[in-house]
Amino acid sequence: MLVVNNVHVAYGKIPAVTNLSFAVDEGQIVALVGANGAGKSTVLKTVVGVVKPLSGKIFFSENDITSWGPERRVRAGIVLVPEGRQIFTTLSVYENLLLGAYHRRDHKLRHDFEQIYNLFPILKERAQQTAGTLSGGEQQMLALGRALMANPRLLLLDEPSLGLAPLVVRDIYKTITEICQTGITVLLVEQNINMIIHLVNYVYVMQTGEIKLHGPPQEVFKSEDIKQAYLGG
Amino acid sequence: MLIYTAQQIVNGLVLGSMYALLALGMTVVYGILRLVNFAHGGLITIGAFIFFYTLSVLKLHFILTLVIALLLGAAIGFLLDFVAYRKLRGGPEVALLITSLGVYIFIENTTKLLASPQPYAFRPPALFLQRFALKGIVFSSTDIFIILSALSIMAAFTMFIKRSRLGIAMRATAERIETARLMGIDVNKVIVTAFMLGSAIAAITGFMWGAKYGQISYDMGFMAGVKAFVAIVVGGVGSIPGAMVGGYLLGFTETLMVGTLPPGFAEYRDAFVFTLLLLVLLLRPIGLMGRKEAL
Repeated sequence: MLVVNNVHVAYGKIPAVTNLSFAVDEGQIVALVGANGAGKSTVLKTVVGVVKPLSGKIFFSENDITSWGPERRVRAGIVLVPEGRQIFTTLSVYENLLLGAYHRRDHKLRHDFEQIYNLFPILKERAQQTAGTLSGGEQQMLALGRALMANPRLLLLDEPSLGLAPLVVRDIYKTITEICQTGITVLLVEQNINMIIHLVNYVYVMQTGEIKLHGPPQEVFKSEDIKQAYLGG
Repeated sequence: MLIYTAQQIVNGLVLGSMYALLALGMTVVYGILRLVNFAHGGLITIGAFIFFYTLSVLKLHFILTLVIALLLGAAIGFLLDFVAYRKLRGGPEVALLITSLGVYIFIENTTKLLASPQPYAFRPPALFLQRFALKGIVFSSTDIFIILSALSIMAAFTMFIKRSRLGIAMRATAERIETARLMGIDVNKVIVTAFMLGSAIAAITGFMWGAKYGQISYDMGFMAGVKAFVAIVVGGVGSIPGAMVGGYLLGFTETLMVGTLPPGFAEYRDAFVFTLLLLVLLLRPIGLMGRKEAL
């Protein structure tokens, strides 16, 4: 579904990602793991189009989307839940969800609102509240809900567990699994390997801008050495 | 004394309405681009001259001149963004600021060249020249027009920004421009809309200014633009209701000071406004309705 081919990304003169190639198959949950600064977030930003690669190609459902801007990629179904959630704190919960569906012109919005409210009942309760007043976990739910309102085909998640209590993280991941079961493909970045090891279909391990290892999670994480070497334990 | 005070309040309301309209257009652009658009004052000069030309030279009907000024104002707002600012986006904010000063100087000098360095007498249609007296308070139909249209424009704008899709997208873009793009919002379209709306409003304000003071000149926009900026700072930078409240507060301060102090002080009306600015900056730097910006 998503194919990234020989992509190079740099911020100014500093290379962030070099010679990156990987693929995500439809219906799977794929994880990018690696230590801080390995370039994981850059990969997600490149896939969604806010960061432009210096060279290389990105294909989505067989289309070459390398030159597409983020607006067009969102319409095609690539949706990012950014690191640190980045909800619009001055807007209401309802308005945040509405903006998730900004690019849509269909009339299924009401139905989709109901679905999101079923998935996260707390958001319905707080619909008219300013999003900045939500707790961290609720904000993550809102960020997920907002992304789902876009009708994604490929959902990109940048550290959905960041700064959340372990119990909340478990809930969020339970929801992510449910989302995947509805047919949405997921590519996620995560530091907390134990959280995802039983959840994902495939893992890419990144270090200093390159993919060092990849495979099914049980294989990749079978030795403690690998965890030590690439992920800091 | 009561009548005198009431009279000053009416005067303050009229002046404040114009400041509030200018501040509104300026603050929306600031909210998104962090640009203090000094060229905004130039738009009232352009607006005033468009009205002068269509009313006094072409002798068109007022409604028609209003439509023309709105459309031309919006078109100039579009051009301004397209020609001057678009290429600078993503660069340092100070580059935008300096450019806006340059654009203002360009507008002022072009007006001087095309019109003349002399002020022009501005004659609004007869409808605007009627005078009324209510229990000793004197006001003209121009005053009523300014107050009522300012209030309706502000109400309409508030509805737009609160309820419409594009308005909600505008607030989102002002808060986090990068995340707004992730929602599929075309931020360029949002920015252009902000410029066009603000400029169209400024063009009408140009008519109000001319009708109120009876004359227009190539440099009328400078002080107006600076005062709109002061209104924004007083009200709280980036806050839309703050800009409107700041505009009215400025109008009241100016007229009340001029009206209550001995006649010799009238010359210092601008100084009162800047004193108010200094007081706000000293006592409440985030402005009356401002929020601390998240870093």
